[in-house]
Amino acid sequence: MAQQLVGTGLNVGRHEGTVRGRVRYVGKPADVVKLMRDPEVTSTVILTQGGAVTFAGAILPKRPVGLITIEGAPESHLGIVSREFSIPAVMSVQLTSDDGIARTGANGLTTAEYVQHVVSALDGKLVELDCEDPDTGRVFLI
Amino acid sequence: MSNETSRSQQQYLDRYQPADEGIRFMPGAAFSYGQLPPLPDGILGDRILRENLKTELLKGPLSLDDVRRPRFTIDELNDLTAYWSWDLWDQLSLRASEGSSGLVPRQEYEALSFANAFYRWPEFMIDMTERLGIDGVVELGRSGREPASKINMLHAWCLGAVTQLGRALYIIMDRHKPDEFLPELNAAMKFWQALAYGYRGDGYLWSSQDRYRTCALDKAWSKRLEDSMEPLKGDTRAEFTSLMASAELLSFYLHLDNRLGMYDLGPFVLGNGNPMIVRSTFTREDIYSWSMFARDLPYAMTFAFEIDAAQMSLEEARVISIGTLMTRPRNYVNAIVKGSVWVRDEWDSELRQVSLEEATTKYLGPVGDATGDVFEWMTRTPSRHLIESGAFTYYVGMIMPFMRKAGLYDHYCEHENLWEFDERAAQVYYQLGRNDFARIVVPTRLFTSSETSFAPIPPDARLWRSKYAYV
Repeated sequence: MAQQLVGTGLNVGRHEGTVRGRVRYVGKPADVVKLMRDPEVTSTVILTQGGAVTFAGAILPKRPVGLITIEGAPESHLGIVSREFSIPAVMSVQLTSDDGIARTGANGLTTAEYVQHVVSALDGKLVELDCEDPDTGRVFLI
Repeated sequence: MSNETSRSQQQYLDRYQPADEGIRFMPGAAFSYGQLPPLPDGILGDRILRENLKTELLKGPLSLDDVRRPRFTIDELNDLTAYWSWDLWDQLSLRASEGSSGLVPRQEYEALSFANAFYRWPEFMIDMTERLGIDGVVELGRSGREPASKINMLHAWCLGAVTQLGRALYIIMDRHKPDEFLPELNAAMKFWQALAYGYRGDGYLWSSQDRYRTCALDKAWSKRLEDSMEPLKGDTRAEFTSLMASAELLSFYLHLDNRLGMYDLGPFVLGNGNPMIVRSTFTREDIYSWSMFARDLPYAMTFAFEIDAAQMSLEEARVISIGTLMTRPRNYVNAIVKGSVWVRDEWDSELRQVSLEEATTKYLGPVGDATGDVFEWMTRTPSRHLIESGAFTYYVGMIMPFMRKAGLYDHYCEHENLWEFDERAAQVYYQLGRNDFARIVVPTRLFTSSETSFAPIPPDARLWRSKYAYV
């Protein structure tokens, strides 16, 4: 099956091989609750904006396939816990094509446009996460 | 593999050689502070900083006589402030931005707690010092040298760090000047110094001063933990790390997304050269109303584990002052080869070992349920309430363990309105959201501006100067 590299980010922990799953964006607490109760969670790659554990972290014990964040670092709470659940995670993902959309605004925060851009590119798509490199995680569309 | 061969493959042990400068976790990054040379992260940053400080205070280990001195000089306070500013950058920049939480307004509640703690803590600290004596405060710190105690490096560190952050916050807001509130600053720094001295037992105040080691357990405890660990392979390792991760997750939720719910000790270098880490998670804390969701869980769970350093080619293992293990390479989980689980049912009961099977059977489900319940409680809680609750997890949660152990917590609740905001601090709430003050202005002014808000005290300042009038 053809693969297309769609984004790279900080790899939370080295994992041999790759994992595949369908991306689901959780943007609101209600999305988190819904996914926690969905049996498909175990074939889902979570996409979320921040790296704080109290948001998407509640889903991790349900064993999603992987995690992608738009912000945050491997040393964040979410990064630490995902590593210990052995869930491959790519944080602060950067798409290969930004379509001229600024990632950060003048205030230093991630722009809503960039978040929407990433969500549009990944939400609902089947992806493969490659976390073999110790530092860089890669996201492929399949 | 012989022990000798094994040790030769453990690069991380080189970090403990006196001339070793460590490796950079943030290559190319440096922190600027006043006239000091650029300060990188890690062992080298600590060394450059301490070599360039004005006084002898932080040049080497402290003695008890140093701690007994009633106050710091202005130059010493300035050296401490310089070290605190680098230390905060060194530890917190590693995490980078966590970005938006989507649930817990962390930056807002942190700023509110800094504001409140700066006004309220000094009085409690002075009172405790008067009641216990400075030697008693040292002993209070020393009493935490066992696993699963909130009298630990993290909580002691917080008392110093948050005082400094509160001072910086008011300087950012232009409410205080660098030469004001000096008796309060001095009292807080002395209280933190005595606790950290007693707890660490090595004369250092920060983990970074000792190459990122915090091995603050009495020998009998470290031996007991070492002897308790059993080999973990395949499924048993997955069970162990899942239980540990679940307990960590609950501890984060119970403490509203901050680190007060867990801390690491170590690295304890074992006979075979591998490091042992002792991780404690607090899975119930009865002073918080939302902890009722964890009412059937033990107060704390401790996980001792051995990492195979050669297997993961461990280059450096830091247990930073906030009690978090950071390694290079990052992923140590796959290299955990031994472990044991311990439980403390109440904050003041004995720690007892439980088998992994018993711990998993008895606690894994309830820990997950409690996590889900706290999460749902958060989703139903208005932002303002979360900010106030979060501010209390910092302002009360950081100092409470010392009050509780000293038998003074109930007294301060009943007679000193511990669970209250100072009126001046409460006003800060309304500024937090304006123009992204808490989310952008504060972090920017703390770490990236050319004129840092960790401002030195002017040399002509008077140590008695508080702030008596807001005019």
